[in-house]
Amino acid sequence: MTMSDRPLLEVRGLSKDFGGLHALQGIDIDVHAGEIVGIIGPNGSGKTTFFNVLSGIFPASAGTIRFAEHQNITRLPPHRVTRCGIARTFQNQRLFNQMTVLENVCAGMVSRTRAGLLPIMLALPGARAEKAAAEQRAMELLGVFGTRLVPRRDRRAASLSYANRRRLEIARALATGPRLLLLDEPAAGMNPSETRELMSDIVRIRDRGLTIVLIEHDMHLVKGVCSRVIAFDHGEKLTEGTFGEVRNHPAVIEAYLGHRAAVAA
Amino acid sequence: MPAKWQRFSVPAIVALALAIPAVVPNAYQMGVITRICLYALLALGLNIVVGFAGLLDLGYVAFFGIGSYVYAFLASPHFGLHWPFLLALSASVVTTAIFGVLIGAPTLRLRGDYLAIVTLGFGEITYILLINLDRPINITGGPSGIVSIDPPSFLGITLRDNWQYYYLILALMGAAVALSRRLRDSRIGWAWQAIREDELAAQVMGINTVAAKLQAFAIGASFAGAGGALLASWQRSVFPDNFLFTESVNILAMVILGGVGSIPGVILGAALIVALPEIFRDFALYRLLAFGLLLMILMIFRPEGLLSFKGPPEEADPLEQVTAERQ
Repeated sequence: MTMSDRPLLEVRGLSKDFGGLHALQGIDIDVHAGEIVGIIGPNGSGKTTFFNVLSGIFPASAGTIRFAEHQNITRLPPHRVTRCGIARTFQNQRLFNQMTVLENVCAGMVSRTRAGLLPIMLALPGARAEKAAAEQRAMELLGVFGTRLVPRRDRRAASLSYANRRRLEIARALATGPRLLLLDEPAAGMNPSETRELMSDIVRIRDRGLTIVLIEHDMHLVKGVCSRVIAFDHGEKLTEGTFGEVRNHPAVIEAYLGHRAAVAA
Repeated sequence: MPAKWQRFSVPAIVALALAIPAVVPNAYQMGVITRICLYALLALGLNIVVGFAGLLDLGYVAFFGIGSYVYAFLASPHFGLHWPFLLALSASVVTTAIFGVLIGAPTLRLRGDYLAIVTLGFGEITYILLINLDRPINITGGPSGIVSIDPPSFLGITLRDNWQYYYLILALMGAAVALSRRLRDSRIGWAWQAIREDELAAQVMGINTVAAKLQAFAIGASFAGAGGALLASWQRSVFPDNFLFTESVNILAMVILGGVGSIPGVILGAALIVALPEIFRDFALYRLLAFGLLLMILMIFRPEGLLSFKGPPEEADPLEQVTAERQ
């Protein structure tokens, strides 16, 4: 793992207001290539809003986002952000339910393929070869999760178990060819053995050359995979550091448990 | 369907379709079957917009009308133009595709009911233009339409009988089936279906939803354009009343009845919606009543359509159960 001096993702003074509500206030975050960064914080602390602004779903009210060689992606619509190399999953799964498992991953590949209407309608060799390659790559991405998804390639996404739907969301995000993967509560609803499996999956995906930022409430997972942890509260960055540093930071304990608990600690 | 069956089913269906004129006894029935194929072509086009991309279009008949009139303009004494059939047909297809984009563009931000209402409006505008554009300059011929349209002719053979039109329309319907399948299983089809399932997630997966929706509108409209040209050349005349709102509803009913998104389903839907009123012709007074009742019964017992792409509701995945037990 090499860490270049320049961060892959550089967020400066990022703010998002909804009317009078300050959902994000002056967030500064650097993420270096190859890191697995965990974002923690109580519900409503702005974690998912941060992902939504990063991925272009909500336009930022202020601040800048620099990503890799792209100087400023703050104003880009979601599909352009994805084409720059940022992919994400959703906290409340948003799979393409009536499409098959394989088609879900293929849908992630649309922006990485080129064939136009006429070559497709005429079934020209170029379009056919591109489609075959896309399907082969999709199979390979299903294979990231061992035998969890591969045997179910032709089932509809809606028929999958909860954990498999989470895995499919990750495979679909990987299909867009990202350098940065944002995972929004990937372990939510998973049992302990599934969470353990997910942790090794996340590390394996990082080892494929990706950088990962994840939001998670499961502290066991955060402790296990994250090289660095950032704590959010009330739309602000409270602190960052190793899991141990952040876990014992008085402001973090106060945010989770209240003022008196923080004093007692 | 097992793969080895599928290999035989396509040639079998094609052979059956080609043999139909040999076994159908009279021109009236041949005419009904030909109309089924024409409406199947239209329904396949609407299926791209509604079934694949999930955009509810209630003004689809507008494209059918535009296609018909473009053909009528280019191949009739109305403007004194007599373009060859294939050229006039291509012009209808291209023109309707352009109108598909023009009408699609302002509706891109609309969803569901709102999109339906706006497209309904476009359908009505088209009808009103067709009926009123005979003054101050006579463009559409007004309520009396355009007559004496040229029949199709290739290599010196001019089509006259219903069975000849049947082969022509069947060929274009077959092409529509092939194009629908290729598009559905392509990167463009993946994008359409993703938009249908979850537009925001589709955007976040890097799909340019604006471009994909416009492509759906253009392709869907162009099928109707081909259908319109075929109608004009078969009927030898076009009237605004061929393109009433009820036609949009009929075509949509074909798509929904057979199963939204399913290609065989849409063809079956076209067959039923065209044939049933003919079968009930003896009870002309009660025809619409019986037809409506039949549709209601179907929607109660099979709301997903006769041959839906969703298939029957799925039981628990046996593979999932094995995994669950292991944990």
